[in-house]
Amino acid sequence: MLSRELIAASTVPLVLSILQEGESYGYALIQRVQSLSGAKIVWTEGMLYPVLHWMEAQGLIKSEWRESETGRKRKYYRLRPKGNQTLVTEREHWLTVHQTLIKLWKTQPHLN
Amino acid sequence: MEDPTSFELNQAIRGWQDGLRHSPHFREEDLTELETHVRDAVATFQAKGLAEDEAFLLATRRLGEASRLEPEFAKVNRAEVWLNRLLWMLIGVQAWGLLRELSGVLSRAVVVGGLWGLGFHVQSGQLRLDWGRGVLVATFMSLAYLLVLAGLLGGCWRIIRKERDADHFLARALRRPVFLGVVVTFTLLVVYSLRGVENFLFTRYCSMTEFARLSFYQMVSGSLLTLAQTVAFVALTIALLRRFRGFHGGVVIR
Repeated sequence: MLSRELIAASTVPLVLSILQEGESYGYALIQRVQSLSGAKIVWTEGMLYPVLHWMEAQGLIKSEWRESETGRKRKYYRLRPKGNQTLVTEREHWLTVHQTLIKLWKTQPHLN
Repeated sequence: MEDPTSFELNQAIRGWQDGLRHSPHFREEDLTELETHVRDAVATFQAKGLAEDEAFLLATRRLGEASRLEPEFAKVNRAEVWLNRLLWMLIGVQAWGLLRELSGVLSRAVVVGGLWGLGFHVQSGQLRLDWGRGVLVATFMSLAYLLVLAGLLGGCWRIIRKERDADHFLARALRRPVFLGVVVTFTLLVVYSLRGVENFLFTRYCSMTEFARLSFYQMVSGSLLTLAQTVAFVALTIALLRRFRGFHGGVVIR
């Protein structure tokens, strides 16, 4: 299980990356992250919504209430241009951390 | 006819939402979004073979405890929460003003109408108010006022009591403060207009002397009533405080 801090830090890039594939809603976002991570990234599901609302307030995404296939109202989120730009930056940052760690671990394979 | 199983789920969701609703940090929109989430999760768990009640319990548990969600929603809803509080304060002040005005207009209408019915025609100058009659009129006016005010406060108490029943139309109105605010303000304007009409009728049909006498007795009655109103207001505040004593940090303690 990942630490709470790491989960919190990765939420925004994860949401932005999924929304880049197309619009989605809270429950589907959670399901997608769980499935992609092999259930290693488990959010306290309700905590995602304040993050989505914060991202919307920051202008990264926008939301729209529409009727779902079940006939109930559902809030869909999609990426805004600023979200796309943020995703590019986030991607660079995470890849930098990732590549640095990979290099370190390759040179120190028996690190305990 | 509604499926009884589905009805139970709806009841459970409503009960769970009401628990969250007691916190000022969740907007109605948030609760609707969370409800959709719970329903989606319930459907997924049911498809995996769980019973409806089990699916509901698991769905709400995975969504997170209200005490954990509340601070997170509070961070993003800070402005809305304060605007909402201000709106409720405004509604409260206006509702109290409405009760006072409405009680005043109705009680005066009852007393003046009663006098008219008894043959004291103000227009023909038969309404001779000496001290004895004046005290009588003031007493009647006070009683009528108290009766109307008690009726209106009783109605308010009913709203507070019925708020527990999520389906009641008053409870639905309480969940929509903007709508409620508009209704209260509009009604207050109507009552102010009635007062304007009342003032016009008095000035049109009463002689200056009679008008002055009526106003004087009304002032005597008003002074007594201000005291009664204050007592009623304090009692209502205490009743409300007692009602909300069971809540801590916006989360219901059961």
